[in-house]
Amino acid sequence: MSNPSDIEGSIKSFILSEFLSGEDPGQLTNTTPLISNGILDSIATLRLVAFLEQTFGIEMAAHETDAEHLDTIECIARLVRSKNGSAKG
Amino acid sequence: MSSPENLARSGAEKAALKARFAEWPGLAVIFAQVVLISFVLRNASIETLGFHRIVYLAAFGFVVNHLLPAKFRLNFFLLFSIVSMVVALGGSADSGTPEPALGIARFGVTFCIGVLLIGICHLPIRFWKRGVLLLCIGLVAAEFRSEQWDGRVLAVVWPVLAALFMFRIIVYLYDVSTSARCPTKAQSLAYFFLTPNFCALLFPVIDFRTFCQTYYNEDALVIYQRGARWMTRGVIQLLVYRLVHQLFALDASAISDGTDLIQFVVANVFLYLKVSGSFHLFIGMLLLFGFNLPETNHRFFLASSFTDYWRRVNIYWRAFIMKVFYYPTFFRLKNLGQVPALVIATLWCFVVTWALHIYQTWWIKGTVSWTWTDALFWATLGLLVLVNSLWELKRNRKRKLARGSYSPKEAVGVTLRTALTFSLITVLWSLWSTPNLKLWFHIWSLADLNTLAWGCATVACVMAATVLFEIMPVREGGRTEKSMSGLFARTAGLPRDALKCAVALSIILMATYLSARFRRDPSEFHNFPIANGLLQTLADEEAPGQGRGYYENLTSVDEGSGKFWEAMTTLKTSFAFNSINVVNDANVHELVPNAHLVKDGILLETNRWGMRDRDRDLAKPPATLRIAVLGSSHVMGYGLQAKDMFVPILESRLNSEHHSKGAFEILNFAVSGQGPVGQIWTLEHRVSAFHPDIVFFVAFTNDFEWATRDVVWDLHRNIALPSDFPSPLLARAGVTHRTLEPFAVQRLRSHDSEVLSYCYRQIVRECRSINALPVCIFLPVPHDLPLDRARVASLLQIGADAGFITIDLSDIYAGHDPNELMLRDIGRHSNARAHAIIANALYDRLTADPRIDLFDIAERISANFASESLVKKSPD
Repeated sequence: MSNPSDIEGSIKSFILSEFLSGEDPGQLTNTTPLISNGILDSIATLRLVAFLEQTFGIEMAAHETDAEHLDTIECIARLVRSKNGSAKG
Repeated sequence: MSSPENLARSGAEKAALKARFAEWPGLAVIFAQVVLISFVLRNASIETLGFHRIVYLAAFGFVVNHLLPAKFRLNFFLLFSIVSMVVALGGSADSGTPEPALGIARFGVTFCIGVLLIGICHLPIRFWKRGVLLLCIGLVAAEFRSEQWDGRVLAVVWPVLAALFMFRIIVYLYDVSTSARCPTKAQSLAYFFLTPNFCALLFPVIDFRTFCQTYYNEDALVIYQRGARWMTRGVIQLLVYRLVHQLFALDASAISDGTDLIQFVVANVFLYLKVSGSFHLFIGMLLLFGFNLPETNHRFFLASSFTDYWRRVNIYWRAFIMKVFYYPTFFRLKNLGQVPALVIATLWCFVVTWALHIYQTWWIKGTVSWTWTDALFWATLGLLVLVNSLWELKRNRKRKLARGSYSPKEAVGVTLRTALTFSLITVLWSLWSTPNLKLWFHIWSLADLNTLAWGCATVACVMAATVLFEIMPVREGGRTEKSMSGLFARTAGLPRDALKCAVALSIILMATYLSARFRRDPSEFHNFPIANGLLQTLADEEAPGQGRGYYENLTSVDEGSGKFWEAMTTLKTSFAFNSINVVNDANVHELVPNAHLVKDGILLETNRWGMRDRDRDLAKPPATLRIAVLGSSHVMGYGLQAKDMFVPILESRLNSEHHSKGAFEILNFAVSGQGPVGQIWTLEHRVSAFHPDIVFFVAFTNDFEWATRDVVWDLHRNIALPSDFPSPLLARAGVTHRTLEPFAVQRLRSHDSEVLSYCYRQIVRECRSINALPVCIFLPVPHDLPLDRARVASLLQIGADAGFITIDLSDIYAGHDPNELMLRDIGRHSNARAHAIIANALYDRLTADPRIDLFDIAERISANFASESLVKKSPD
């Protein structure tokens, strides 16, 4: 499992390598909209979910694939933390 | 005493008030755009009267909403929606104006059932149990929708209730079941009783979570301005749709060669602009109230793959399907592996989409329509999207952080892919718009080099648009809006976006104004096709004929949605009278024989010969003067009880006041929509067998247009014109079967006297061949008053030259208010009072006209009969 403090970094690396190869990493911030900007389409979402489940050991639900949970790296990290927290607690 | 806290609060309130005042110029600019939009909607008759009223209310409502403290805004929007709904649902075709009591009754029923449905979603029972309960309520509502318990007042409620709840209740149930947060009552009610949904049966499926989360999530004026821009875009798209529909759309059955084929294929795909334009209008209006919803359609013609097309066209539908059906299915099956789960989930989504389109049709139209082409369309699109998805999963499609940063190689790739996608989508769309597979294969068998050439030209245009809008760096978007926001905040200058909208709307307003002038002015511009296209009315749009795909059929006025349209337009729908009117193989209107139909208390009956008349024997009864009447809807008694029509009134009066001179029969062969060319056919194939002594040909000023219209229709449907038709005039006018209909009509306009003259001469010739006296009666229509005297004189002169005895009834309505002589229906036909005036006037003219000498003919017939009887009695 990745270091919980580096969740944002892991997610950013994954997105950059898998979906945005060749793009300037500096342009992808923790608040860049991913769904509304068309970076996370349905296929990308499924791959991101698989990555999150595998990397952080969490189980995601179907309704968590929306913009509220996945639109920015910040949101995704918050979701991962909340799931890790609830799993530990 | 003022405490420091109070002072600070007072200072903050003052600052907020100051900021509020600073927004006024921006607000005024947006208000001006909404007012312009409302003028354009009214002038160009876009959408219904009910929707226009909502836009008028919204122009002021959004300003009031903005000025209210934030905590009251949602409640105000809910109140605004309810008031709008009462106003819209109060529309009545019987009174012609909104009736508050009717609106309240209809709203009350809708609201109560709606609250019950919302309440079920919140019951503390399991998800599936709530689903079953909703299904039960749905089934009961479905029984009402199918008019098992039809009530005239409440008939409007069911389609409206369906429009509000048929999809959103599914989204809502899903969201409240998967969210820890319970929505407020105002959020729930505002989501369902959403202005302007009750004015439109086809409405985007708004996501509940997005609806709540995007509420004022950005600078208010930026949201409002985006709303005004989307409404403007919607208006433009709807006008482009009209022009395509008017100038290029073809019916699949009218395709006769490869050029027609490519015209049909390309025009059909553009007809979706009607849906896209309406959705932009509706969602734009919601943005005016702070709901910062996403775009409904995004440059779907420029999709570079099938998955991209699925993402761009009807974005709300895709989001709904993905959320409620795709992801839950995938997550349930992901243990099977990513690829199998994706395959099953994708195919399942398209099966659901197909089924939900049938479900939607049923709720909106009240009937289920299902075709193999429909199923095949969704199956093919589903498979193409699936293959595309698997390819993307394997090859990992490259995405971009900023639009417009394409390398030359990428740009070529995107352009070629867009061209290919567009080509395949248009072919697929043609399948969806063709009633059956046999016809679809037939039209594609007509493909030739012209199809290829025009197809390549169209694809080249799409490629150019791709370069222009997708490849080249995009300078607009977020930056524009940010700078606009700054401008609004400083109230300095006019934002570029607002200026662009205002200019576009002003140009459209001017165009619709000029078009209206061209239409009224009987000059050479009278039939200018673009002017006609811009001002096409709701009734024109819904007219059967060219280019009717799924969405065209869904939004057309028919029996299933007639009551809804009557409430929204306060006009009587005409489908009852049109439902027994058929166009035969010769392209001529006929009435279905032995029809018996009661609609809105009006009995519509035809006899065994397909005449709106009492039963008649083919053989003329003895000692009877038989008159046959040819005419169109006004003579057929459109919208009237049979007893109120002038034909039976006249017949009855002649028989009661002059029975000593013999019997009189007046046979009514009039058919709604019948023009002079059709009447030649009716005379030859129907009337002649009845051996009339006199033929009344009832002429109207629109005979000029209808004669050329009939010729163009025949040309387009490859129906041979009579051998003696003056074909050289077609060559002189530059009209062939391939000339687009509005252009053909326009070109023939300068020859319309020749066409009409030919028709009239044919009618006279046919009358003489059956020994019937040809009489041409000019009848004014109250709606056309005051009459164009020169046109009437020209028409009567053509009639006289052809050999008719002419009777001019131009002045029969003198001293009457035309409005009191018209039915309040879509076609504005003559009412019972007008028919009584016609019957009296015609009686006076006929009984006094020495050229006809009605009674002399009658007495001669009686005398002949008497002598024949004597001969028969004493054969020796």
